[in-house]
Amino acid sequence: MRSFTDEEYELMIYELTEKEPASFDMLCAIAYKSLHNVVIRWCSEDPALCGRQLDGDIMQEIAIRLIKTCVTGFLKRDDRDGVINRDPVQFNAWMFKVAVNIKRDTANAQRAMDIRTKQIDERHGVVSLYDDLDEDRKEKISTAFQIAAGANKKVHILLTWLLQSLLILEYDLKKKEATHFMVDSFGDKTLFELWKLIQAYLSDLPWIELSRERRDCLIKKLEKPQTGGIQTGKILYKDFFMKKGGTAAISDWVNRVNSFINSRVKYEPFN
Amino acid sequence: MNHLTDDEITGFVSFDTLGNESMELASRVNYHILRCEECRERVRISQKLYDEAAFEPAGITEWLSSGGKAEKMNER
Ligand SMILES: [Zn+2]
Repeated sequence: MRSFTDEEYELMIYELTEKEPASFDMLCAIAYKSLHNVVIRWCSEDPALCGRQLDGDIMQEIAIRLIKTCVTGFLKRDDRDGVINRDPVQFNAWMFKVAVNIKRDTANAQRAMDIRTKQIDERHGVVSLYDDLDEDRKEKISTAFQIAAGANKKVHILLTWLLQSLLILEYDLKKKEATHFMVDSFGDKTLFELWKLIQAYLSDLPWIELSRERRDCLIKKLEKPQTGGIQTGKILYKDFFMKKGGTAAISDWVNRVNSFINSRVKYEPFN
Repeated sequence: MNHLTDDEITGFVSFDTLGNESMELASRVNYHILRCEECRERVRISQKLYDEAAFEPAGITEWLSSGGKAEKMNER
């Protein structure tokens, strides 16, 4: 069964194959029409997904995957001898297959996160799984923290990076798990509270050096009043990520700090 | 026609948000790889490596993979 018309399909093929540069408006529209209800149903039926409002995240993952693989996975798959595939039935099947894979990966990640979260709850004051990091790696990580904390970015973005990195280090979480964990656990905390938490984690990992100067600079940013007079540090964390799309916002901020670090250390100790 | 740079390919296979910048890159890359077999193959291989790496335990976000990636890439 197809949820799109021949005209819509033709337009999509035109946008993907002839328009320069390619565009994805119709691809995304067709994906939404065909899959959104299915995804909502998955999110209510699969025990690993239900009650977490993941349908938006999953739809976005699907769209990204379709955009990334429409050429190599469908239009010019490697068994097609370079001939463009224009078959709507095959397209429909491919799109559903992509969606099913994303759903499976998301559910797996979610289950892994649930187990981790449970372990964290049980362990309290855990011993870091990264205690056995070698000195070289520790030094690299420490330098990254120092650079990240000094990045010229908004303070909620910097705190996000610091906290996510510390969660990964302390609890051996994967990046995605850490992101979901942050949304679930820290949304109702203020930025000041997050900073306190970061300091507590840092005191567990004394080999990470964050200079007095960097810390003062972060505190200054937290104390700065926003328009309306309220101090930045007194704003709830979720007020920053909710309006930008939850986990997507957090992963975007972390990526931005990562690229800043990458740009700074390209020719320095890491290569 | 200039071939895609390594940075463009890495950026394309690894973007994870639907922002203006990533869409602009994806539009350009897809237009090119539909017409260039060589770059299409490079994207296919990079995508595969990237997807496999996504299932390895993450270090400290992507930064560690930047230090680690250089080493890892050399190993391959
Ligand atoms: Zn090329």
